[in-house]
Amino acid sequence: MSENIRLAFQGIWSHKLRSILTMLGVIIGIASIMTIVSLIEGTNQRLAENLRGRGNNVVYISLKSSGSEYNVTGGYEKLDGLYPVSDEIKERIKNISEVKYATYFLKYNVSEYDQKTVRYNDKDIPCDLLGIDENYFLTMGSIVTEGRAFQSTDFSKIKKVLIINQVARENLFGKEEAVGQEIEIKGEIYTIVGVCERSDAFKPKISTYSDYVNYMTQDGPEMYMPKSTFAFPFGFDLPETCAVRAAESEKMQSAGVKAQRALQTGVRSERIYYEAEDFSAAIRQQQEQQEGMSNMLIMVASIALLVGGIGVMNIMLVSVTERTPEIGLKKALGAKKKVIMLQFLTESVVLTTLGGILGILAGIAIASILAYISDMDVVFPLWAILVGFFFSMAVGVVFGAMPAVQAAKLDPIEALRRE
Amino acid sequence: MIIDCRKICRSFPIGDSSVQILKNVDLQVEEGEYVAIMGPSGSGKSTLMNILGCLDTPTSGELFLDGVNVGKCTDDELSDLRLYKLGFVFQNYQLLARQTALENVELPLTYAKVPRDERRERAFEALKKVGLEDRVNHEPSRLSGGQKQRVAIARAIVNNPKLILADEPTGALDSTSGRQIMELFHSLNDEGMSILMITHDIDIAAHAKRIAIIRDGVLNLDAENDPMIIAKRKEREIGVNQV
Repeated sequence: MSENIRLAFQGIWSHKLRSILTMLGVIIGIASIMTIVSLIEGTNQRLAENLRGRGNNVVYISLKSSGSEYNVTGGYEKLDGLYPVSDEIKERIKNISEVKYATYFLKYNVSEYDQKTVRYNDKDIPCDLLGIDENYFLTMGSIVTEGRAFQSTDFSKIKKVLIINQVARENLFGKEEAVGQEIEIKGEIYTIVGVCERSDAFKPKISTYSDYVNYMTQDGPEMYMPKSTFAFPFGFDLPETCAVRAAESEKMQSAGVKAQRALQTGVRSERIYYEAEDFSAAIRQQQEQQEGMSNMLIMVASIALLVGGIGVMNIMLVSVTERTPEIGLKKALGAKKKVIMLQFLTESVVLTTLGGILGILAGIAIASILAYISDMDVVFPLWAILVGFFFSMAVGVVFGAMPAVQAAKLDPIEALRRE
Repeated sequence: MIIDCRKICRSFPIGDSSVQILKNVDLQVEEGEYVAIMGPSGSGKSTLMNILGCLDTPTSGELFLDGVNVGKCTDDELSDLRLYKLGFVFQNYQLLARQTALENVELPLTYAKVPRDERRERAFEALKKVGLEDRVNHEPSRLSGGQKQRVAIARAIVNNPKLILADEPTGALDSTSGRQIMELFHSLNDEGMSILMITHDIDIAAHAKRIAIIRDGVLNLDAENDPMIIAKRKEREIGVNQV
C-alpha cells in the first residue's frame, strides 16, 4: 500500500501541471464549502454569543401580558393577584442547579410622555428606573466604574441614592463629573453615588448595522436605586421581575424555564404571567434566514465537486490508456487484477485527497480574508475539515473506480503489444 | 517436467470464420533444458509463447506448467504461476522508464509481498549476477540496449522461477550485445536454469541446446539434425575458439 502511495505521488509529480488542473475542480469545490461553512459557523457563533452573552449568561424572566412586557407601575391598572416574589420561591430558585445567581427587581419604564417623573436641570428624562437588590450587579455582570456601589445601609436606611448606567451618564453629564449630582424623581431629590458599566467580556460585538439593531438597542439609559427606596415614588408591594445567571451558556434555557415555573406559582392573575426569554427561538429565527442562502451555496459547491470528480475520472481514463503497456507488463510479471486496480484507485484517491487538503487550506485562507475585509467572525470547525477531507477521498474512490476496473481488465497480450 | 504441452490448438475468430494459428502442438521441456523455438514471422511462435506464458489460453489441448494444469486455473492462480514459476524476457525490454534498474528488478518481489529490505537485497543480487551492480540506481534511459536487456533478465530471475521465457531477446540489440546476452543465458543455464527462447534468427537459435522449428502453426521437434543448424553450430564453435 505504501508502495502504491509512493507510486501515486511519483505519478502526480511527473505530471505536475496536469495534476494541478485535474485537482482544481476538487480544490474549488472543497474550498467553497469550507469558506461557506466557516463563515456561517462564525456568524452563528457570534449570534449565539451576542444573544446569550448580553449579561453574562443572564436570562430575564419578565412579567408579560398577552405577549408584551407588562409595565408594572404603568398607568392606573389594578395589580390584581400579583405580589412580590416570596422568600419561599426565592429559595426554590436558589436551589435550581443551573442557576448561579438570581436577582429580583422592580422596573419602571419612564417614557418620553411621562411628565415630572424623572427630572434633571428642569427637563424630563426618559429612562428605565429600577429598584434593585444586593445581587443585581453581580447577576448582570456589571461593575461600578465611578463612585461606589450600594451598601447595606442604603437598603436598610432606605437612602435616596442612585447609580446610573454609562448611557444615562453620557446623556446627562457628558464629560462632567456625575457622582454627587442630584436627580429629581417624583419631586424628591436623589443623589448619584455611582456609575456602572457592563463588564467587557459580555458586550455584544457589533460590526454590521443589523448587529447594531439586534443588540445595541438593548442598552438604554438606566437608573438604579435600592429596592426599599423604590417604594417611595411608586408604592409598596409591587410585583417583581427576575433575572437569573446560569452557570454555563448551554444551561441558560433550562435555568430560565425552571425559574419561570417557580415564579409562576406565586401569580394569582389570569392575564399576567412570567415568561423567560427564549434564546433558542431567537437564534433559530436568525439562523433560518441564513440557511436558505447557505444551502444554495453548498449546492453550487457540490456541483463544482461533481465536475471536479468527473475531471478526475477523465484524467484517470487517459492515464490508463497511456500506461497500457505498463499495465500489460505488470500483469505479465504476475500482478493480480486487485493489485492493478488498487494502484489506480490509490492514484485517484491521492489526487483528490491532495486536492481536498489544498481546498481546505484555500477555504481557510479565503474565509479568513473575507472575515478580515468585512469584519465578520470566522470559525473553522473540526467537523468541517474532516468532512472536507473524507469527502474528497470519497470523490477519488467513486470517480476512480471505473478507470481502475478498466485498467485491471486489460488483456496483457493486447496491452504489451501496444507501444 | 516443466512444460508439458499436449495437442495445443489456438484459433482466432476472424469475421464468421476462424484462423488456426497453432495446430496440435506437443512440446515437453525438462528441468535444466535450454530450448529454442525458431520460426519465421507469422508462424505462430508468439502465440505459442503467450500460451506458454499463461497470458493466453489455448482453444483446445492441455498445458501443464511444473505439474499444474493451466487450463483449470483462475485468473489469480495464473498470476501466481507467472509470478513464481516464470520469468519473462521481452524483445523490447519492457522496463518502467521512471524507475531505477533496482526498482525495476524489485517489481515482481513486491507482487510476491517480499519485505522491503529483503527485496532490495535480492534485486541487488540479481543485478550483480547479470553484471550490473554498478548501475543499480540508473534509470533505463541512461542504460545501453544490452544493459537494459540484462536488467530485464535480472528481473526475470529475481524470483527464482522454474523457467525463463525469452521472446526474441536479442531482436533489438547489436551483435556484440546480443552475444553477451547469449553468454549470460549460457551461464544461467549452466547453473541449472531452464530457458525457452523464441527467435527467428538461426544464429541465435544455434546457442540453445535443443531447437524446435515452428512453421504455419506446426511444431517440428526434430530440428536437431537440420544440416543448416549443424553448420551454424560449427561456425559458432570456431568463432568462439578464435576469440
